Amino acid sequence: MSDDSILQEETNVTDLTITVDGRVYIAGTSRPVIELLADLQPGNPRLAALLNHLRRTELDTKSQASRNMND
Amino acid sequence: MTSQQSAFAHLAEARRHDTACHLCEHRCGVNRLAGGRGPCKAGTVARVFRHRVECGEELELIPSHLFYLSGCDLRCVFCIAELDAFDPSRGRELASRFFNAAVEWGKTQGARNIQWIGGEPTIHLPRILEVMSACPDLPPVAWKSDFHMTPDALRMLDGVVSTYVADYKFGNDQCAKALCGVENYVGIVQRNLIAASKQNARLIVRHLLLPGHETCCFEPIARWVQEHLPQVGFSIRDGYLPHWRANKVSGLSIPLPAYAGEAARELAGKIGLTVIQ
Repeated sequence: MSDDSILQEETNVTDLTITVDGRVYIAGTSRPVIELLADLQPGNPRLAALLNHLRRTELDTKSQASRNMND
Repeated sequence: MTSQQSAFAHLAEARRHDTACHLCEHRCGVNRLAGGRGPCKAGTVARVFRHRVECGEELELIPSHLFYLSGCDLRCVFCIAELDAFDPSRGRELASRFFNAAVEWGKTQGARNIQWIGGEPTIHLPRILEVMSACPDLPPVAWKSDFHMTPDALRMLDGVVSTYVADYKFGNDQCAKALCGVENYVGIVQRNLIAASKQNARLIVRHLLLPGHETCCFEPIARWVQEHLPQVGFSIRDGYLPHWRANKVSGLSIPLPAYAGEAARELAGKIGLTVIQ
């Protein structure tokens, strides 16, 4: 088995459950799923918090990488 | 000392539990090397049944690279991982080649840490310390646990773990016995939480709200944490769905009512807990 098949096998799996009252449950939340649900449920504060945090973290990482390149 | 060095420093002691296991409070003492199996059924091989970078955890952890290990010392009737948690023969062997490659891949996906989860990672402590002590560039380590470990096990994590995510599930021993099958649950978890809070690590206490257990479980837990560990992050999870054998348990066969999460957060805020997202 190659490293690729070892690594990629289960990384893009997210379990979604939608109950009869319309609530959506997510297990194994990936970034694309958060983006999608935030589009579908724009008023959801939890999704908004997750997305804002992830975007901020990405910006911090990019900015750090840029600083390291300039050092 | 780095996390990797601390893992190496505790390795010899951890391996002694392969021949007389006292990693969890079942204290079964079995010799796993000789084929003995305790309540968790684990042997000397740890297995990863899933690993992936996830973004739905507490904000301070995400994106987090979770390694799910099969095998658990508890038998929660509502376990979301079901047989993956209870059958330690599931998954691929946790070995250095796989682990090092997976860690590097996780970094490319933006993971800020690795997180051990189960099942219950503590029952595989010797194997986990082995792979971490041989990992050349180990990220910060989060340890998501039922906190039913022995003081010895918790001590071997000191210096290794950056963040504990402690599942404080039940507010009294009767509910714990009925729903996860262990005795003296509350005293054990509270002892371990106090001990973990004295280590140089971040501690998050997580509670999954169970339908109908607001008064008997959530409230006592919230009040105890406020009294004894007011500085820790308290995470309220309201995503309960019936899994595993929950359909056979009165009151647990339905999702958590929609209002329960907000009501719990309101109470937690009122009594002064540091509720985190």
